[in-house]
Amino acid sequence: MPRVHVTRNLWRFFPALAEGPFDLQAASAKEMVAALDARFPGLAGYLVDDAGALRQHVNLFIDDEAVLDRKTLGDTLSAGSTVHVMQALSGG
Amino acid sequence: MPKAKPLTDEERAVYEWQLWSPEFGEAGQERLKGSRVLISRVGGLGSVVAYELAAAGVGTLILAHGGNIKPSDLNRQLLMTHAALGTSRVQSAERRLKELNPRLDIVAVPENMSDSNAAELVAQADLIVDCAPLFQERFAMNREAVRQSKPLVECAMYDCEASITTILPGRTPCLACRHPDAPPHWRREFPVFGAVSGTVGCLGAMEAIKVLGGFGEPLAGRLLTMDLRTMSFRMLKLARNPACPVCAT
Ligand SMILES: [Zn+2]
Repeated sequence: MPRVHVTRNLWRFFPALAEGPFDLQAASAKEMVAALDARFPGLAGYLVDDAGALRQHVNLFIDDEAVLDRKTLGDTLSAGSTVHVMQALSGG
Repeated sequence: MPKAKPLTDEERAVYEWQLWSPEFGEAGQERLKGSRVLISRVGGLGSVVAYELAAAGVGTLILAHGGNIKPSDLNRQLLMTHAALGTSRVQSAERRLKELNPRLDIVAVPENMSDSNAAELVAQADLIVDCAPLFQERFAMNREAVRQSKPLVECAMYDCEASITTILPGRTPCLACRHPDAPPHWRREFPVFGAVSGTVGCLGAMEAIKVLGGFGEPLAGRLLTMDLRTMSFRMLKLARNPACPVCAT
């Protein structure tokens, strides 16, 4: 199963994210967001908008490469994929 | 890119140990001497960037930071001092940097970067190091860096997490390719140890030294992310957004 790491930035809203990373049943980035939301209800709202597109301040990296399809999240995941859910940082 | 300026004997003596770096040498040092670097805010990150660039012999630093020193600055803003509490941040920064390197030219701007001053500030620089805590400042800087085709070293952190990349307009993704908008829940205040902002500051200074000195491989199109709680580092590949509101042609 793909292994998903979620930025610590979101742990303050979902403290149970600290138990990660998570091995989730998902064949695409879109399915991964749904699987995360099933485990942490409401988390999808931080990651995608009402139309399912990635929110503008969120980045997904699959095997260290930025996801290009931000609109439909169609990028595929394989059993050995590692996903990083990142968020814009601005601290100076 | 900057015009090289010949070194004096005093400068050869001061920079002797870095002149031994084979790809850099005297030609690289002359380029640093001719360089003008804009640092947006000299807080936790920017203080360390400025200190390292002053030590390395960059000719001119343009420092933009508004406001006066508060007690809560002192855990990380290493150019601010206890004795200077309540006085101007950029003036304290200028004084500390001149103690280290009296040859340094400093343009101290007692304002933060904004849409109204970004064009003029970026125009004065060969390279910009983004150390600002607010996304509006970062977006203003990114727009101008792309428009004026100036390299932008983009450093950021939150708590023990940090990231850094170097934007080379026309060649790499820009900040807006990655984040066209700010997170709705971002606040100017954030958890920070000086050792975290300082780590990223040193990395940012090294990126500036490489780009200006013309050696090594900057983080072009790559995002180095780190979590200093676990000391995990990752190198991520960034993608240009063909519909980027700032850099798409
Ligand atoms: Zn762009």
